[in-house]
Amino acid sequence: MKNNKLDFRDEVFFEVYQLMKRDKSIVVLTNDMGAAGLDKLYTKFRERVVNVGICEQNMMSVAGGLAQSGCSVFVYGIISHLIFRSLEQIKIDICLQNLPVHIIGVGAGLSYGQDGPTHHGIEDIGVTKVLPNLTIYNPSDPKLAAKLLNQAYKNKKPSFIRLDKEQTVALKASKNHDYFRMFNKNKRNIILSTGYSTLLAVKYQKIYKNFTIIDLFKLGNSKNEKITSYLKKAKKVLIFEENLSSSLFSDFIYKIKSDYNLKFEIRVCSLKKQFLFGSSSRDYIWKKKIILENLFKNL
Amino acid sequence: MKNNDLLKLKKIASKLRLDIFKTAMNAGKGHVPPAFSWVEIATVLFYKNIINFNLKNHKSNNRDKFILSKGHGCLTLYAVFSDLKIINKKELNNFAKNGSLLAGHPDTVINGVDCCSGSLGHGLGVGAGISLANKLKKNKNKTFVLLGDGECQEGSVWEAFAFAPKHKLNNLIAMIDRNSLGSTDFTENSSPLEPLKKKIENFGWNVIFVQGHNIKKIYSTFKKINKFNKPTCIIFNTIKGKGLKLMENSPRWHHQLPKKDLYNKCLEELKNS
Repeated sequence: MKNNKLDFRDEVFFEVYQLMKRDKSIVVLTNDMGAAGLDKLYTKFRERVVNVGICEQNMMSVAGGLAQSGCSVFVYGIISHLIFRSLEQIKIDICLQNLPVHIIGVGAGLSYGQDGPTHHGIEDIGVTKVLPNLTIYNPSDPKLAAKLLNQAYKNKKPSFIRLDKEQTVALKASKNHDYFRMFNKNKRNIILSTGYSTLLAVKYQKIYKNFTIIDLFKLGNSKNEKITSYLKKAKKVLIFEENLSSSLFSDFIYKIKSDYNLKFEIRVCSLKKQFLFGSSSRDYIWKKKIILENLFKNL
Repeated sequence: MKNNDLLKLKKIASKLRLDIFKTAMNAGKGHVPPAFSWVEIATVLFYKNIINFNLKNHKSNNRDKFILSKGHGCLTLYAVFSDLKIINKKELNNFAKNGSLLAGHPDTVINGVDCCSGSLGHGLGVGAGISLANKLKKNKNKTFVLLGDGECQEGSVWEAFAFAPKHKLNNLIAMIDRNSLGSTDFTENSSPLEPLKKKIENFGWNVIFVQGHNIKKIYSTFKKINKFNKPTCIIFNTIKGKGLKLMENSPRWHHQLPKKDLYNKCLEELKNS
């Protein structure tokens, strides 16, 4: 049987490759992180792909300097290191000056679960969503990731694109909007998911068809009218994320509920606000912490 | 350098100090000693055309860049910008007041400011990025970055020191205002920097050590920089608070201002310098 599974990084770096062919101002920086797609960029565009070394702070400052000089910059590394090590550089050298620097971070959620808590990407949304000018993209499949990268590039403003390590097929939504898409629309029970959790929700939707999935993939300056129109009809909304409860992508819906005096019930299924010590693969965590079958069945 | 020229530059330096002092006292705040320590450096850089940056080209991206990485020393930059008419003279009177362009640390809302600084340790990395872009574009623009010596305690500075020689950024000039003081104490009492020249040389830079208040020597040092094929670091031996005896070389005066009864005495000293 043909394997239709795609890799997030392969798809994204292929998109970067296409862009670099056309746009000579694009520069890619990495903190000594590898990827098959990146190797191809090194070969073809040697001068414009720079391994800065294991120095994330300098990498972000250099990205800022390149961008203010007219370059479009992609920065690649593992999410937890890129964000936490160099948060101030991201804030001051990139966001404050609203520069076209696109942070491609791999390791969203528990992609690196077995590598321990220093590699988990479960707290970063909490600290990046507070930064003005930064758009966060959290795609749930590799094709969408490539499309969002292209969008970010055209936008010419700071962006943070979170990639999972899981290989997956491209998902086909029943309705697409600019910051979310829907699977099995028109149900009154809604699952608000993002990234890997959308993949889980879609898997269970094949069995339990009694809910709509709203797959959120962009957090930035989008207006909320569209999503509000769907939430107005909702009876129950489950926020379902592989992030800490203190670092959710979708908790803006509490404000929507309050502003519009909506009546739906909100439940949250996420990781507790605690570090996950030792080796914690995502299969282990999701089976240990929640019985997924019951969650979706009883929705 | 001819004597007339030297005299003219010394007068400029004196005027800058006076403007800096009056601006801070008017606002009731400001880092005067960190500004005073690099006045001669600024005088030569901006008034002897060492840097290709002036009223005509300051809004352009295609010129030399100056990054004040030690952002708290901004009063000197503001005084220079005002004198060169890059900002309106009235703006100096508004320094640190509500709605003013001129905050206690500079940001890019001011035309001609090339980096938002204030949090230390960023400027050299940003400067390296600009220099790398200039190399890719094959233009001759240079980037000058002024760092504080206390700032060199930040790890990110050393990441940038390691990066620049690897990428042959001989269009990057780091300048260290080596006044030996941090905010509350001498640098060697907290996280020692010496032997600073040797450390930076070992990272692959060309390093020059020069008296930071000797205009003639500063000028002749700047004239040499085009000859090198690796990034250059100039360590300027300076005195924090240079120009006012009260403030010179004292940890007490990082961002303190003299009380009003000393104002006239300080003003007199600056006018007579």
